Amino acid sequence: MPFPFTSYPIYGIVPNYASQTITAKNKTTNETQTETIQSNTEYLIDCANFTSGYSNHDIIEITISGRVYQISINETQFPDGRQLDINPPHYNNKRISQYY
Amino acid sequence: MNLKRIWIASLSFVLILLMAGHGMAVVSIDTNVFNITGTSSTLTAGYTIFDTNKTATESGTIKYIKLNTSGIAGNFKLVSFQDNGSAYIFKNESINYSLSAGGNIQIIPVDFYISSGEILGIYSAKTTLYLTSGVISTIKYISGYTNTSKVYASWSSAANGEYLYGAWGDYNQTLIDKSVVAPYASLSIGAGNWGSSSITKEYFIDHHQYRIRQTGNITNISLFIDNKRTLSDFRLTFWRDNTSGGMDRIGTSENIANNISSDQINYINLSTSIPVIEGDYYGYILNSTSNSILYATSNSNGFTNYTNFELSGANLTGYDWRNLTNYSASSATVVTIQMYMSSPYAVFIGDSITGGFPYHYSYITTTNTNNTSATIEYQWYNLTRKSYQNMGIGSQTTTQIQARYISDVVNLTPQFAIIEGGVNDVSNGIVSNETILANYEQMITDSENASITPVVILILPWTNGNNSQSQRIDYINSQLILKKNNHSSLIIVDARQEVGSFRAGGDADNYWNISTPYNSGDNVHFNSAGHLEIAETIRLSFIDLYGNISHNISSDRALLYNKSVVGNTKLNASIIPSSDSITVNVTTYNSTLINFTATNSTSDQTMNISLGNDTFQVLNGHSYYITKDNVQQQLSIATSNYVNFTNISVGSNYTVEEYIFTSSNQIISCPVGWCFLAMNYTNKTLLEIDNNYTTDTVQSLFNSTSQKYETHRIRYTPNQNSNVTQKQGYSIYFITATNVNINLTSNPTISLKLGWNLVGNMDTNRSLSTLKTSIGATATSASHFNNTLQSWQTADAEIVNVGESFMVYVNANTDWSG
Repeated sequence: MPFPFTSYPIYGIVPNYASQTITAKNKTTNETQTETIQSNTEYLIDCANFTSGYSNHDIIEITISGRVYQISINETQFPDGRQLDINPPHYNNKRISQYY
Repeated sequence: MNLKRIWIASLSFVLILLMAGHGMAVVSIDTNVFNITGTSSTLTAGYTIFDTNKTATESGTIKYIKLNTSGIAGNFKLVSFQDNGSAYIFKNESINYSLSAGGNIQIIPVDFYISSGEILGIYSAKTTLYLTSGVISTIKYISGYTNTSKVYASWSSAANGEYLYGAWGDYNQTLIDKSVVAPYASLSIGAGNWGSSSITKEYFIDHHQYRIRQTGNITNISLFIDNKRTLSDFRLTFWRDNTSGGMDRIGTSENIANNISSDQINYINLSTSIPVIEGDYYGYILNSTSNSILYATSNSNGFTNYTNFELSGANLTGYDWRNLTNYSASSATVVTIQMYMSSPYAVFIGDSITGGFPYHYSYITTTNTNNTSATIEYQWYNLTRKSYQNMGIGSQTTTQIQARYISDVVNLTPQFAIIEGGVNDVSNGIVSNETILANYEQMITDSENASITPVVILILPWTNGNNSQSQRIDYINSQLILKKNNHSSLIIVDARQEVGSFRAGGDADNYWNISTPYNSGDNVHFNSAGHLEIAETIRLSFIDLYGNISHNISSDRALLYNKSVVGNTKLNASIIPSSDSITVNVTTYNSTLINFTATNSTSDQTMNISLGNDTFQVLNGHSYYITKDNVQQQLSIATSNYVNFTNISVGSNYTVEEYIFTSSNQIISCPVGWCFLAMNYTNKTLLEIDNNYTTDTVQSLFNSTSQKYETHRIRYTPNQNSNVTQKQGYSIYFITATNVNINLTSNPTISLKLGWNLVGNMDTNRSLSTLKTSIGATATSASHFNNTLQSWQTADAEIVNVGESFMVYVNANTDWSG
């Protein structure tokens, strides 16, 4: 049982997608989890909730309404989680990557 | 064999030895200890007679010896020897007992302990002691008690012989487990000088020492009748002061005249027990055509008032026995009739504080001052509803208390002996600390030998004592506490904080003075409120000890009790399984059996403790720890009157104790980074936690049902309303080092779910191993996020500080209250 881990939230806003499902996938383990975007369009996914948790530098893929975004875990520069605000209309089907 | 048969045997000049054990139990009946026949013989003064072939079959106390003396008055002693094969080794001797001159049989109360296998002898200090004659080759006498002179007896006839009939104890099968509750005097045994003559008379004994000293039901009596003659009516009566100037006759026995035999001690079972309360009086109704039935002894401390008729009315009320016009005569003599009832739960022995001063003097003293309700004992009874006897005597030192310990405590066969004293020892300044402690040691040992749990009240605050004396008391008390190391059954009651106060100019943290609200005014004794505080402390000491479980120590001493007197005092019941299967019965306060059971032949065994139900016992829902060889193991909650522990091993010392939470206030120093904490409030949302700080960015809890973190980030709303409940763990990410104040006021039971659980450690710093064993076998893995190291630690020795939290994996839903 490799658990436990400390929390590592990926959080932000997704305008116009209130109450939609947002899916996170750890590209290292291929494990996924889902959350529901709140009515105020805010979301938060805790990477500690992946079945196998996470490791530093894992790539997390965020999917909402068919659009995919990626963000890396970086405990050195962002030890308390990463902010990822998503604006699908603006990026319009464009793949967004934020690697550090 | 009953007493009557013994008596017949003794009349046929067969010497009988019958010894009583603690209380009234029979320990030996041997009709041939001394088989003396023929004519009288002489035993030269300074010599001892004994029969080498007859030894005591059991250990016990000889209570009476019967002699027929027609010769010279004088003294004798009982002695005992051990035959080691080549010599007779002196073991013990009694005090001197008096023989009167005259031709009557004398039954002389004695108190002489003899061990199994020892030989009883009689030593005469008289010029000449005559014994029944007969040349018995096995009878020997030796000079003094030395083993250097073994001289066979040379018996010769003597006209005025003293006939040694026997020695026996208070034997009566029905009196086993019963104790004398009144009076504080030996039976009146002697030539008849008291009784009625052809008319019915009613007697009332007005004597403080003759009052009933235990609340309960009188079931048996004993009395000596010299010559029954034409006794046709003998009824025992009981009287109660109605506090309105009169006495109410609250009970009358059946006529026991037909159950009485002449010239012997009669033990009589009352067909209907008579309920009495502490302080009641006794009397009797007598009718015979002849006088001189009973023997009454002179007693300047009390009177027997009597009427030359039977008072009318079965439930006579308000009769003023102290009004001279109400009785026919009064005499400064008393007839001792001993009363019995079930043994008391506790006997309190001590000095005036135990006695009840200034409100009350115990009924073993002669001062007629009564207010039982103000005593420590009565208020303890009010709290516990357990029976007691007050055996306090004012002004006594521990030496005096110890000297009467066997007769005043052990022989009453209580379950608990509450020992108080010490101030008088220190006050007189003569008795050394060593002597005082030796006195306590003897009383504790005597208790343990009799399967009585000793309860020592540490010497109480004493305002009149000077600083030096108070320091001495502190030292003695510290040594009394250390006696726990050698006496696992010992209970220490420390009421100093409850009734004491700090004396300026004294040592730091002293409790040398009696607190003003509890001072009777003389700076030595306590008032009624103080007595209540002491009584409550005694009660709580018992509760702490057993988790409200009382005891029966088993004969093999497998069940012991222990108490830690350091820090938060908790008292324990412990068991050492000595075989693959052992059951030890423990009785609760209401006599419900508790079974400690270790079964099976493997190392994995189960200990079940079933608990009784009453207000003084452990309640379901309370938690209990079990420790093995002083290492804390599992913690289990009582449900359905059972507490279950597993993995019990043969031969290990187990201790069961009630888990008692200690409130504390913890400051957790959280560094930059994650800090895992215990929730001390009933509920707090992550937002509320967030709002407590300006130095944090993330707060998180672990939902054990969903097995997911619920995480909140400042300025975002997700999970902001997730509740962290009391004893759950949670984590905060601090961007600046922050001190977190965790005020732990309770430690509730938490339901651990199958899987991982983040829970708080609410009570004492503990290792992961200890925490897991506390949770039980379901806890298979644990991990602690070390706030200082900022990493997860899984080693068993990893310490989780109180106020921090840890992850634990349980393979089944489990309640945990540790």
